[in-house]
Amino acid sequence: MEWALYRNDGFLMTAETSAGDQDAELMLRFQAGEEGAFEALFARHSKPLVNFAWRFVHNRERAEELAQEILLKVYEGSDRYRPTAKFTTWLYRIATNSCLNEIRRPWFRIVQRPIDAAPPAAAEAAHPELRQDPDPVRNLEREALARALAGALGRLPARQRTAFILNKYQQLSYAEVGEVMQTSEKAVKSMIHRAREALAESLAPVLPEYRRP
Amino acid sequence: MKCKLAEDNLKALMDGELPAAEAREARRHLASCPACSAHLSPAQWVEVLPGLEGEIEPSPGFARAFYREAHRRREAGRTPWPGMAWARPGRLAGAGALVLVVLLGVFVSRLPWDGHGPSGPAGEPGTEETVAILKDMGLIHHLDLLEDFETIADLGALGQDAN
Repeated sequence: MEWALYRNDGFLMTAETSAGDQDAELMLRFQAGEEGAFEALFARHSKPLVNFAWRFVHNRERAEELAQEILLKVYEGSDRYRPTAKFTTWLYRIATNSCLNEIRRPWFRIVQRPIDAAPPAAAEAAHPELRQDPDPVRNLEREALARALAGALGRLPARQRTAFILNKYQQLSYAEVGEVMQTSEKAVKSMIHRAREALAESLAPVLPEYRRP
Repeated sequence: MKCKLAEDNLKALMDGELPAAEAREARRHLASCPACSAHLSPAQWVEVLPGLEGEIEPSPGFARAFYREAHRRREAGRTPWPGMAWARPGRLAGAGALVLVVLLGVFVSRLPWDGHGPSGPAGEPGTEETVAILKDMGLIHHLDLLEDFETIADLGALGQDAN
């Protein structure tokens, strides 16, 4: 794999590379002093990071604070980045540590936050096919299901929850999740399987209503 | 996405073998299509439900707040000597504390314990005390001879004359 440093080149020069390579290249350009390269990384990853943090804390404000903290670690720790692994692996390792530290704080366990309704509502705005369902009851049930899943996810052991979120929501492969969590692919498969079983058990009482034709 | 294709992809989705973009499409279809969702088991529902959830848009001021904080931290951490990034206040304080600990260790190790140290099992006996003990035990009878340098020098001179 070859890496090149660009100081003054524009974005179009790197647009044809794959997404992972482009992130690493942007990071190297930022290391070389190009501030604009970080702005591009920020634009690509800030939203996924806010959503990743939300899956752990279920609170928009705190999710944004966590995402800011993660991005600041990337910004300040750029000199420690080496392109030996995918940029997203490095990024989500930082993000996972920050989120797990947050949910392990005593005050987080004491204060049970209500789950925001924002994600399901946003889903219908983002995906037009979900608005085509003429049955308003079904729409409400769909929202209730998504909310139930978010609640059940919060009751999973931290590592199972992390593996599930990284794979199902952040679209990382099992191998990438393994790299982020510093464990084997086999262990990731096992964690996700156990998470799915536990979540299915939690959701089963809610499902028959939704499955009514 | 057609129902048949989504159903065909369901097993691959469950096994985590579907590429990210196809997985996203399959989840959305299976979760939103009444005909397809009617046949899903609870475990399959868990797999497709993430496709129902949308994404939170960061607040309008999110980027501005981030860059303000990044700029503030960079200014606070900037060293008065360009090119000396290691000389940040936090790192300097850490290095200073380490030097202090080392100096304290050296100072403690050089404290004069011999003869004046604390008694008991932890205290080492001093030189005078050791010599007295050795004398009492009869191991040293003529300690003064060891310090009679003139006699030793004379013995050396006699040896040279004999040669």
